[in-house]
Amino acid sequence: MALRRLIARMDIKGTNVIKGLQMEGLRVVGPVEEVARQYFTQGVDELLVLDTVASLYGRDLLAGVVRELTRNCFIPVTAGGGIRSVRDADELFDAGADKVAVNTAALQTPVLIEEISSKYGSQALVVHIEAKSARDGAWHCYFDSGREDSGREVQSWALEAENRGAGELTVSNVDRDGMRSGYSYDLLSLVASQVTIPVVASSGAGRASDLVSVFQRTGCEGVAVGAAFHWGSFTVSEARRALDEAGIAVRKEPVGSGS
Amino acid sequence: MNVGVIDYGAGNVVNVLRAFEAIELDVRVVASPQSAADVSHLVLPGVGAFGFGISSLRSSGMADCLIEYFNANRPILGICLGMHLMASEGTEGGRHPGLGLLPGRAQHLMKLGELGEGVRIPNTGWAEVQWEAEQANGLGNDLTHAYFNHSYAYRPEGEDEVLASSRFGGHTFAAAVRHGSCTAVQFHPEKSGWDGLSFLRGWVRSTLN
Repeated sequence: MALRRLIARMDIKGTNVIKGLQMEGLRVVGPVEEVARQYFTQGVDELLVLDTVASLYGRDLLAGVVRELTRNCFIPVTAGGGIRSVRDADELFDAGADKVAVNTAALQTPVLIEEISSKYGSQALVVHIEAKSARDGAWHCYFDSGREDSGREVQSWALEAENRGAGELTVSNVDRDGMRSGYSYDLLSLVASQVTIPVVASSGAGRASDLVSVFQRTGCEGVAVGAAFHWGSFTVSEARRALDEAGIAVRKEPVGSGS
Repeated sequence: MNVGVIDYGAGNVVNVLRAFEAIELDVRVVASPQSAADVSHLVLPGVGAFGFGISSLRSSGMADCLIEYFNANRPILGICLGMHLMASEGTEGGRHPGLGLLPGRAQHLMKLGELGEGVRIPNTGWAEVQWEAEQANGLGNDLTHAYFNHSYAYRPEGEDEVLASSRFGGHTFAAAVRHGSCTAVQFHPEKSGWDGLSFLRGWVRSTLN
């Protein structure tokens, strides 16, 4: 069985990795290639690259970024941000992406999910859900980098995404993103229980023990860690050690890596 | 020697190309039999639908080219969808004849049997690869874990040699097989870190004896 996945999440603007708080405000972490190389060297399982301002600058930058960072990082890369068509996806796969992630365009035109997955396979398509809790206690799907409420509830959207051919869901939490104060396990359990495809948890890791909790308390198979890695809350090594000590099956630290 | 990575519109070419470049082998993209003419090693990568893949290989002439290579005992490596396309048959979206370089068939992971609770498909992530020491003959020395991302698996038919297996949902499936001059792997060596690159080097080396 595949081991639990430790993913380094990199939100990018231009050619820099940035990180905001609750998806607002942007602090620069460093140049994408450099940051990606570090995470690869430190032994993460995968990279998740999300272009946060694609709607403003266009996606051409993202393909260029993916092309450069896949030169030296021989681990899977998921790329997303502003993908509106199969052609956009083509560009990213040609640049070296293993998977593409869609959100905004998929909510607006759900058939995009079928289009991309029928060409590249479900295993190549991630639907990224940006969840935010609504007044009535429900979880809504947001888009445009967590700014706009689509009105859709996460459960029904998750199920629809799977039915249309998504091979994976990544769940971010707009209110917890970048805050390093833990995950909403209710949200993650809710989504994971709706679908039979793998679910990756994002937004909230502050301590290595948070990752342990995700795997113990929800059906998620992966965690995408952004702020905690960028700002040094814990290292990739420490994350692996915590998971291993808790009896969670993860890849051993690859030989030649170090934090 | 040189490596030709087949581009038949089913993606995955760039990463495989980069991986061979990283281990400093002479490598290029090949899209037609003419461009494959002077290539010593062929690699068939790929992701996506079986039907699309096989028809694309046939219409470009690369299907015949691969069969000729195989009959001439020249080395071929299939990766992921490439492995499935080499089978005698694929079962995605109906039954499609494959290239027939490997005697088995590609089947959905659900066909492995009762999968147990909470098992999710696709099989995505790093997993242990168990090498059959004798058959593999050192091929898997460095690659104890590799990256997998698939919903279908190749089921051997008995004539092929199973070099390695991995596990999913409580069942074993073929992670690496060999038949004649054709070696095929379910995992992605080009995405399995430095050890994956070592595997590629090892594969090439194993064909030079």
